[in-house]
Amino acid sequence: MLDQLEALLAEAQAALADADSEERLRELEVHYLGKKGAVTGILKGMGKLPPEQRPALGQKANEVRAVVAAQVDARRAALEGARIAALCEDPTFDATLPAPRPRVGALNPVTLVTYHIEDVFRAMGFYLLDYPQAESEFYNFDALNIPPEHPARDMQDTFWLKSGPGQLLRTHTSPGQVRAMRAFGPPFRAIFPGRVFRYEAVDASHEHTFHQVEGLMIDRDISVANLIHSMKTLLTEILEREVTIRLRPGYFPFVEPGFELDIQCQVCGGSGCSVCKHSGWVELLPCGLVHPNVLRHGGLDPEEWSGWAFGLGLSRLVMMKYQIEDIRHIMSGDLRFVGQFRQG
Amino acid sequence: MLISTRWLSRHVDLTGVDLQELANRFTLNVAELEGVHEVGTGLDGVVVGHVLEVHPIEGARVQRTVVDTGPHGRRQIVCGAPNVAAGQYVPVVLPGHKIGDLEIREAEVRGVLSSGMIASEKELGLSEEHEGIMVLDGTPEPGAPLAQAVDVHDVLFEIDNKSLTHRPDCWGHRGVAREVAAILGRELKPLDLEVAFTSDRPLAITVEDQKACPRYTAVTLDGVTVRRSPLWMRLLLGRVGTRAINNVVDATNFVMLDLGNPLHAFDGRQIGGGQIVVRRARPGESFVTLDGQRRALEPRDLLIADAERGVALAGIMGGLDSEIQDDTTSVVLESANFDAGVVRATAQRLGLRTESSARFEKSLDPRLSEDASRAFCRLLQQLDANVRVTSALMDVAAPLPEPPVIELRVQRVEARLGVKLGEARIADYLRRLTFGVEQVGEGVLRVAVPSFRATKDIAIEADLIEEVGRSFGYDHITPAPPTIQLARPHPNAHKRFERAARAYLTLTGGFDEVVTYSFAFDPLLERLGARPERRIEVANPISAEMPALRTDLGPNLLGVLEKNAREVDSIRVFELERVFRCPADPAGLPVQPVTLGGLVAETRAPEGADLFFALKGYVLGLSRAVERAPLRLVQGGVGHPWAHPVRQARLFAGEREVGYMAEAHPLTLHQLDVGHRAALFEIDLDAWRDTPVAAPGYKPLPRFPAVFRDFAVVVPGDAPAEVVREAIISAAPELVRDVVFQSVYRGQGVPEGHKSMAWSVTLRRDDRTLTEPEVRATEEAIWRALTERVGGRPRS
Repeated sequence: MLDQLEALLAEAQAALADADSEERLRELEVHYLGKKGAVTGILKGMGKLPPEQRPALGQKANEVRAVVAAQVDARRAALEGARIAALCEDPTFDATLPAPRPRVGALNPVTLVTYHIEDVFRAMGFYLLDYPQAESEFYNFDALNIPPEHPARDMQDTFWLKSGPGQLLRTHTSPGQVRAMRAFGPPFRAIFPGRVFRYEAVDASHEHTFHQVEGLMIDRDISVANLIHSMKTLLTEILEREVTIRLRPGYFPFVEPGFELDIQCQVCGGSGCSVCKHSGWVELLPCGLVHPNVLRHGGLDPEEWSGWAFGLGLSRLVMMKYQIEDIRHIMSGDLRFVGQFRQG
Repeated sequence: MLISTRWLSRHVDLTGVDLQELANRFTLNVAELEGVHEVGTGLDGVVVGHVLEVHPIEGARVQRTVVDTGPHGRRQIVCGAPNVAAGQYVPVVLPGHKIGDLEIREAEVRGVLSSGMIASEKELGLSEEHEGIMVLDGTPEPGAPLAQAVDVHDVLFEIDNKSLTHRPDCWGHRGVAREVAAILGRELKPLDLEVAFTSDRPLAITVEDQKACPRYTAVTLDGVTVRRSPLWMRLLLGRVGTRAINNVVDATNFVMLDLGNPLHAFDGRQIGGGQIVVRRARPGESFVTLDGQRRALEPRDLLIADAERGVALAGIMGGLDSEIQDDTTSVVLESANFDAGVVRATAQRLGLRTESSARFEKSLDPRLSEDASRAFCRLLQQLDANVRVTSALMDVAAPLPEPPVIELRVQRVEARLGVKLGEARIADYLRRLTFGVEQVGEGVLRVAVPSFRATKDIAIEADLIEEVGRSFGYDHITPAPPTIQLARPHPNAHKRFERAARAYLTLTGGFDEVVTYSFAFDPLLERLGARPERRIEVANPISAEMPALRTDLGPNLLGVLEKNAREVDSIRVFELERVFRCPADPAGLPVQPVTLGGLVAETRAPEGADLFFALKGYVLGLSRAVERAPLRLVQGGVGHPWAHPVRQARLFAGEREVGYMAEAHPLTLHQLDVGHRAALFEIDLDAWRDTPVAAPGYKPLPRFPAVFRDFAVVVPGDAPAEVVREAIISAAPELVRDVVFQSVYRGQGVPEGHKSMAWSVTLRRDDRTLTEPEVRATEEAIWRALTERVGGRPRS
């Protein structure tokens, strides 16, 4: 029987050496070492042996078992190693082959610029607000100290709605000033971007529908010096470069004093070129200290509270930033236009 | 508006002033100068010539002249101008010199040697006058440089009219000179307005509407000879863009451009009955203006009339019939003040904007009317000593408003400007601008506003602060950061919501964002078969095709599809903006919810409802992105004509209907003539925003294993998936933890009118491991529920 065990060992060793898969290895493992396997089968005949021979046979059987088990393990390790090694091979691999990509859409450039401005102001503690586009004459004109006879109220400038007396499409984002004052009370700071409408023929630089952002700071003792400082800081952030600004008198009924803010021409640096019409300055936005009458409409006492406000042409900023030559692209819905603003 | 600095120097001494520097200061202190133009330069080699002889040249329209040019000799010059005559003093361009780009050479013309050129005003760049050569006044020295003999050199300031809308006082040279004097700290020369009035020929003036015409002054002048104005005046007028006509008309224009008050001169013979009536037009009345056009008037138009008929459209234009004729000797001059709104309404309705209406629209000072009357009389008499003023200064005026007196606090000025100025400096700035300043207390000034600043511009303390600020120069203020109070934080919730929706659609769905008009585009709606009834119409639409505000985003998204269909096979777009609907409360503003709309379109979309479900996936995913109540689809009930009649559903957040989604109607796609199939959705974000859900929270992890079971169930073909799912849950609500739809199948092996659905169900208890018998019992319960609730049975 010892011979049988020896033969079995030799047979098992040969078979294991040839085993070329995990399945075959598992099969051999069961065949030789399983409960009903070959080694056990030989041991079943042990009862026929004289008792003194039995320990030797048992010992031999355990040896065979151990050797076969060790070879199974070794073989398994070798097979696994070979499998992993094979997985590490790829002679045809080419990292530069194109890959299918997740589809990413583009935000409209108006949104991109709005986000940028909102982020700048939010970081400085400004609320981000949104107000009606179909407005009342009161908020769009009266509350802003624009007198009844003012030309801005003409049909030539303003879209009037038939939905009710004195209803219109807001001509600027400024109606939000009094709405915000009434909603929040002093002190506060806010911007309100959005669509505005003017009765205007459309061409490459004019649209009847465009975007503005209004800025408003209400606090005690806000001065022109504060306004200049605030504008310079904010425009430096928004335009992402140092800017030189100047204020000159400008007339807007809802601010007093009122200003036109110019920035030094970014093209020529102020020495004069065609972009700035050889003046060295480019008109950027109207601004000023909030008119006492507007504060009163907002429920604030002008003796106690003051503030600054500005209105920035967002559409124009978009055109400046991306050097878009025709304002009509913005509202066109042309995907060849929008698609250019895809990120990544 | 063009301002001549030579003209300005009639009012303020500009000796030694750097005009470019002055222009810069003017822009910073007063109003934007769009340009500074120098005229009357480049006239080297242009000298005074005395025309001695003029001879015709046979067979030619040109003539041969002999001109004395003093030290430059006697020259023969061929001249084509019909107005050349012996005895004239004219500008002669000597050979070898250039005028503009034209070089003058000695040459033979029509067989005659021509040695120089006699030039017109236009050729010399002095005015637009080109009908004939320029003829100089007086007897200048032949051979003297033209620039010495005549005031041709000037520097013009071009002021942006828009920047003067609030400055009626600056619509004439004197007003601009007042600002210049303040800038320079020089004196504004006083006006001499002494006139000897008589009362030979009284006029009767009736003003029927004093609100529309707060002041009307008139005066009669006789002994007038209508003729050409002197050269100095024609040159000044031409330089600032006004054509010279004759001495009377030119004098009205000159005074207007000088003092800012428009004047009108009537032919004295044409004022019937010696009467002037200022009245509103009568119903059906019409009037022929100076430009020869008959204008239909409305009762709110203000008319100047004589006893019988209209003679001028108040403040806008005179009438053709009462125009100054060449042979008249009598002139009636009107210098009035008209209400800005009245003038503007008429000028605008008639599309008739004139130099006069532009000024009255700014609200002129009624006190100016008299000054202008007197200035005209003086000017006309200065031009012609024979002119006599034959009436008194007729003056019909409502009580002139008292200009305001405003208390100005020094501390307030400094606080608002953010700069320490001191009382003396503030008072000085205001006095320079001709405000009356008086100290009435510690740090308090009483400031009297001049009448010409009081009509529109200056009424309160803040207005005076602006005057001080601009005088100091805003460029001299040192920027200072504001000292602000900490304000309450604001969650900016709606912005976060909108940003999340945009980020989700672009990054997860690959949608491009479009922005389109807020107006409905009716030709498109018509093709879509939409007949909107309740929508908000625009009283003055930009075009008949866009007569109202849009009520939905869908049509514009379909328009975007149409626009891009030729270029793009696979389209995914969205828009996030307001739409407009009629309010429930008729007095309220339109309802204008911020709305999100999206559209997917494919040229190679598979048959069936896959496109709908592709979009449904994105729509349902939105609720996670925006942290709002999940959306629920209720099939049917979408009324839009562009929605597929079957593949459509309304969207609900909780119990609130917030939108719809649908495949595009095949007829819509046919009408748009696109090869795509499309699906779209719209969600009212304002409504959805009000349905927040609890943020995701933590629950302890399960301690016991789950059991997974698959069910292949055959159900009637019309059984909604949601009902099948609910049936499975209802069998053991406490054990069923998840029910996931796998697939649906129709065809072989499934009876006609039925479908086979595969579902994966997760079962679990929290307190212990499920036992085999429990699992079996639950499976049986699920089958029972499927049978009872939806007629389901196991697929064999």
